[in-house]
Amino acid sequence: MYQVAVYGKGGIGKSTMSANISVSLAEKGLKVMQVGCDPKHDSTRLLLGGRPQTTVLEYVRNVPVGRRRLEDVIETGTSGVLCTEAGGPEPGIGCAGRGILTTFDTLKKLGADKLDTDVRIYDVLGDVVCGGFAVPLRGEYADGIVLVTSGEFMAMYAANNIMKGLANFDTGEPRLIGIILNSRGVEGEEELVRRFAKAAGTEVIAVIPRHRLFSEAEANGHTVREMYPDSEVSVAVDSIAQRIIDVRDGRCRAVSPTPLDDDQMSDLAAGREIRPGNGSAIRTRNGCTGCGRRTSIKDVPIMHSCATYGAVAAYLKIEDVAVVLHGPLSCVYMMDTARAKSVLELFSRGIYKSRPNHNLFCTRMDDSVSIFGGTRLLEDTLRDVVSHGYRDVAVVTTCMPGIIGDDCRTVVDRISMENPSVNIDLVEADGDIAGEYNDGFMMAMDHIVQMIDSDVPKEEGLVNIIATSFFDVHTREHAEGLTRMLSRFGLRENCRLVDETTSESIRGFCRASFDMMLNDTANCRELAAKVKERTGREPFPVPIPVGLYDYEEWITLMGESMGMEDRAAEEIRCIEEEYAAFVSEHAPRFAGKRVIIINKLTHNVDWLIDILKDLGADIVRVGFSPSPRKAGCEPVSRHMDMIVRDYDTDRLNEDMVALDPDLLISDLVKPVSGKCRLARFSKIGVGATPVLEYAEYLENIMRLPQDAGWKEGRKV
Amino acid sequence: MRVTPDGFNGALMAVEGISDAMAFLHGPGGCRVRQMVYSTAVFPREDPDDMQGYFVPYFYGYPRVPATYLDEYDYINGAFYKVVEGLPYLDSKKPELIVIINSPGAALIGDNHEKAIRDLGLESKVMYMDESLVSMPMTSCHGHMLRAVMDFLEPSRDCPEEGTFILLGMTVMDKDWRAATEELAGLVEAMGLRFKCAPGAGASTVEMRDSVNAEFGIVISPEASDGIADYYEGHGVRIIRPVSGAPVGFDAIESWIRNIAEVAGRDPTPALDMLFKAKNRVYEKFVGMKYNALRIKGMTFSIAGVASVVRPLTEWLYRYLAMAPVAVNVDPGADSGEVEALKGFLQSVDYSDSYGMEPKPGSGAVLCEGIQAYTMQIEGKCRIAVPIGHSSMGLDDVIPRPIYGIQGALFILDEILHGVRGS
Repeated sequence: MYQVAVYGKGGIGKSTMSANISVSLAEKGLKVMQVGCDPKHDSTRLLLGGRPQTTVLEYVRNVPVGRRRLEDVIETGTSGVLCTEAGGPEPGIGCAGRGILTTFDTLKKLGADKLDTDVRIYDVLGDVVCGGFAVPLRGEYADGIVLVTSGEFMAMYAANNIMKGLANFDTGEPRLIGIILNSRGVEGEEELVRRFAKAAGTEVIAVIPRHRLFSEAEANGHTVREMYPDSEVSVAVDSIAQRIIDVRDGRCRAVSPTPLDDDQMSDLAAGREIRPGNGSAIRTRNGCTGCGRRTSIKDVPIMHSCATYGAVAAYLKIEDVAVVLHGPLSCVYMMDTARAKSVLELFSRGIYKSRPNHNLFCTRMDDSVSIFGGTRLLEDTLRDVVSHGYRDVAVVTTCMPGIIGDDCRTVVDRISMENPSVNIDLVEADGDIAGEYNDGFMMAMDHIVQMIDSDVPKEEGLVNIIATSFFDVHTREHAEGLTRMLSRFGLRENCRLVDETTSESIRGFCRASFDMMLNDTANCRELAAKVKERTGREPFPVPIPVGLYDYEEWITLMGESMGMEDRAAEEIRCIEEEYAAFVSEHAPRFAGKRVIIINKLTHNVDWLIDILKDLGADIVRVGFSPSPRKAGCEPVSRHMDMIVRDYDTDRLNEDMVALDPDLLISDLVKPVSGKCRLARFSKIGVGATPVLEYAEYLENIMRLPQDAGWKEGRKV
Repeated sequence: MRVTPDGFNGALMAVEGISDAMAFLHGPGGCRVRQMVYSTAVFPREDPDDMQGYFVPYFYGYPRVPATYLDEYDYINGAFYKVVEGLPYLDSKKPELIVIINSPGAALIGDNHEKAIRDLGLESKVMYMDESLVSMPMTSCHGHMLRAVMDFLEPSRDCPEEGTFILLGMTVMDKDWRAATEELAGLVEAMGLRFKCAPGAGASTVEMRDSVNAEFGIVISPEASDGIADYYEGHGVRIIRPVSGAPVGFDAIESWIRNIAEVAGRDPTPALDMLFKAKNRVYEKFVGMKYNALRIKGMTFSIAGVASVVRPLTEWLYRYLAMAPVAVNVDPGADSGEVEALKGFLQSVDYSDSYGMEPKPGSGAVLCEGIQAYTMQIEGKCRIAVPIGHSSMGLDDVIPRPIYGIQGALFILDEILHGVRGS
């Protein structure tokens, strides 16, 4: 079977030409099938007596898998030509390119590949605007390509673009059969198109005259080739059909075109001699031509997460907000299982007091929805969620609606208008199109901070905690540690922005006297800035401290702020005594030990540097390597001179050899080899005492076997 | 909303369930994370001390489900360049099979994987799945993917082996799939047949090529073997489908054994002895703690999941423990025969109103996907939670707690008994 794709600018006459060629091929005794790949689905009309046929996409939409039959989407037309039409979505919604992909897939599944045909003609939308429309160019579909153009510049421009697309789908075999000039009566048209063809390394294989027979035949729902087989037009059409047969049978060669670059196209349009090309028009995907096109995954930092997940995670920390994820079920499954498991564990350990809920809903986009648009599903799901009584709802988009361009704003606005008591936020995170987890989290927080009512009067003794992550206090012990620290100054928590909270609590944010950052990360600072912008309130100057020295600073400032200097001084005296006793007892096991610290996740590890120095350890390296995508990711430290930035695994491996450490403390990275002990660190809690507990852990690590015995079970 | 995996997850895990295959995700990093963690958790293969070789592009430190990390630029301009660049990195890890799978977003942009594979000369070991399987049933897409793999491997039944069998319809997403596979294979082997492999659940590509030589293909779950069972049948393998649902609960296990014995012309006694021994052990336990056992009788339960699991479990809990099915529902992609049998059973015991209802607050026990079951338990909406869904929870267990087989029945009984303590 030989397959031909007919391409050209919209309205240039591809469908008319395709239908005529199909009839001509059939009249030459070949078994022919014509596949219309244009959303306007009129390719086969002239083969079916002017009658439109059911499109594949219409069929996919209406008939469930399992009940579909090939004969429902394939009809027999003039001269026995088999006809099928892809169809497309409603204008302005969905993704017509994806429709082409789905059509080909559906036809394949229904067995179209096994139909007995000699030639297949694919009549494709004019401009290769996306990968979907380029599918017929692929090697498995098009053995030959025919371009249709007129002498109008835009038609030739489109033809040139298609030749560029053809280069991207190079099969190694020349495939361009030639150009059909479908005359429009432009002055000097034939000469112009022949120049274009020659410059592109191909030729005009037929000139189709403008002729009244076209309109006469079409008015009757037929092709010229069928109604007027002896006409001048039919003779030209027959020559095209013969050319296709000749190429198929090897009597004539197709070519690999050399599409014109912008300068050459300008020459063509201006009627100048076309200058020699430099090949820059072909930007094959195998090599960059200096156009700024990416050629490697190494060209930009990669993202390990998506903005959609970040936005969903932020909203799900507010227990009475419903989240509608506009996307497929797989996204919900991937996002929710790990999160829900962790919430269940936090509740089981008594950290979370409110019962876990399940306020995550999904529009369940599937392939057909992506073709026909997903706004209807969004509307239905949103109405359903609102009917459950939620007063705060967040719609978060995944990459699918982002790519197909669903107009979610209109849906959200409509339902908001109908339900004035319901607040619906729309976060168009679009998967990772808006960035990674942090970006989505902050997009959600832009909305969430708007819930804060700045007019709420202050109440004494309340403090807000601001953070994007509350891992620091996600054990009962650490949570109680925070409570104790605050209670020393008669404070208790008002609102956690944002962790295990309610919309009511966020609205009452301004009741508290202090807003404190839980840690000093770039994310935390960004969130505090959003709060300040909304409320005009400055956060407390020192974040919740970790380690003795930060703790002392925080205690001192708190004492001054609350007029409790004596209490602060007493607390400092007590903790210094405890700290000194600990150091004295444990220093012998740390003295002189060579330590490397590697820090990728947190911004401030002064607590670790301090305790190790106080215990007499020899810190030989502190490596810092945060996310390259996050702005403001600078380390915060009193020991900047010790910190080596952009510290990667290669550097670590070198240091493992050169510095010969006794202990490696890392939050993420692990060396290739090395005989030193490896300790993990993450969020250890808040205040001064968790640091001492962590030091005991390090002390044990240095005394325990390097490898746990379970590794003996590895397969040989 | 009960959160269950979909066809995209199922197709990926079907590939990851082949011991020497590698799924290459053409999609963003956000799509990769959960899949790579999940695959590593349910089917760990790489040595944790040998990760250094994976600190390269497309893997970025994690061996499973390498990805192209699509971003906005790629959605607009295509990411063919990443597939071409990435495949050699994957190939360097020496997998026997690489399957390129599009993420939901990538399915929209139509990159030409066929050309990438051809350009690199990797046609013999790299295939791609162009279809978008998002939001479709997990189970049937699992079978669909396996069938596509078999079509690619093109095995020939050139040396059929009498007395051998393969297990169909087990996935690495099933709870403790390895323990379940071992036990079910052991039961069949006790009847004198020889186990070859379980395609999609730990079998290698060599084993999968050889699997068409098996005399019997024994189905565990009809849903997860959708498509692939027909494939084997077309290659001359005799398919033995369960007549009472998947082997879940003592009754269905017995039926499963007897059916295999009858079709294969074998003596079921050795396998049944193992089952009866377990039943006897449970009997003795129940006699010894009769107050707890008495507390079970009359208790209500809600159940939701794969139809071929829900059906036998509903029947078994009703008959064996005298529990009342007040809400019974099945996942999308249910086997129609199982659904009809389930409805028929509920009607026969006057509980037909329960069909089609999601797990109901106030039920004594809820058996469904783990997160919902445990959430309902914590919320006080049920006393007992039994996770019978895919491995969304409970990956930390060391003692096997599968759903299928004798161990599965004992696990379910344990959970119910523990739940009624002190009630």
